[in-house]
Amino acid sequence: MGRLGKGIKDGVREIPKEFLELADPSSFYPSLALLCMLVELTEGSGLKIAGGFGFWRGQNLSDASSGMTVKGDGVSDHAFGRGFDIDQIGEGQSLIKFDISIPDDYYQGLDMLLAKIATLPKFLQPDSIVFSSVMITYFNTQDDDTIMKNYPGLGPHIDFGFDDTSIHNGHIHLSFGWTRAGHPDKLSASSYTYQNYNTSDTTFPDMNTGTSGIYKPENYSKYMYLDKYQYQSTLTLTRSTCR
Amino acid sequence: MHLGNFQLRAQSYASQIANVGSSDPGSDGAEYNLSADDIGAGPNLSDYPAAYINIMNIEQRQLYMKKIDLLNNNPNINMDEKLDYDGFVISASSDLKKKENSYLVNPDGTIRERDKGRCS
Repeated sequence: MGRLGKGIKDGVREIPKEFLELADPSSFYPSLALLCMLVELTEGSGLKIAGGFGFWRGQNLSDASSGMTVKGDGVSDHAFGRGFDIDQIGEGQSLIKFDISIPDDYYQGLDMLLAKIATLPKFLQPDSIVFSSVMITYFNTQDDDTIMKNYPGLGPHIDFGFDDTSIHNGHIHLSFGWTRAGHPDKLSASSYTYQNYNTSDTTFPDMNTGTSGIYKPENYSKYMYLDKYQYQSTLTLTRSTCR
Repeated sequence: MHLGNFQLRAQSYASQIANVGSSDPGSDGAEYNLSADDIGAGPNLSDYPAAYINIMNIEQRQLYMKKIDLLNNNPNINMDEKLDYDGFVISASSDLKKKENSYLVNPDGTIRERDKGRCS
């Protein structure tokens, strides 16, 4: 359970009946937050990654064998287009394959991935990162907080999953939860209202206060990019060329 | 009340999901208050678990399509298949269209109230 869930009892989220009524079958886009995260992980001199979305997990939700999480106690984020499995990663010409039979390489790739994710703004950091439980020996812990201290910048909302089955022996799972999947208007429209950062502050605000925005001013034009508009650090809306 | 496979799984799925807006210790042990907007870009349009294309306007679709285009043309990412501008398909049993199967229910048979939360 992610940290958003600690201390929560009887937390329930209903699958909207409207969603079920239209899902027979219907077309959906992958999570916008997930798409943005992948762009930021890989663009320019970013990471090289190989993997897949696993959309097939949502193509027949009435089939009892599809769509479930590893634990079998819920519907996978993949089924709703909110997950991506990375099976190779690299920074240069060569790629590291996530293969738990070579645990040093697996750890090197995971370390590379976590370090990169830590550089992203919190709203583009996933809710769930799942990897082989063999990595516990490398981190020397399975405590999320202890691992996060090795990667300053990782959001405390992230839930690490240590899979003790063989399912994640060949890839790392990244996914966003329901409420952080990304609303197109919040990422694009002039109605974007929930930022409240101090323009003189160029560091990430203290997450512990819960009151500050989380965005670096210099990243505004990058992350709030629109087809026709972009936000400036002054928060004025100006026209821009398409990216 | 009879529940279909997807409903049964949706029910267990929901059981994993927590409210947001919670107070919770951060990595330094301090308490902080979280809401979805503090750390996220919000849920999908209409609060669906996935981004339903048919309810989007042109500008909203273009935002997704632009990101899809960036990924499809980025040599640094090798995806199993190119992303489709028409999206991917989610399909549930036709039985689930029935209203009586469209809610989550408590063990005592009462309808669960809609709540805010996230999946794990």
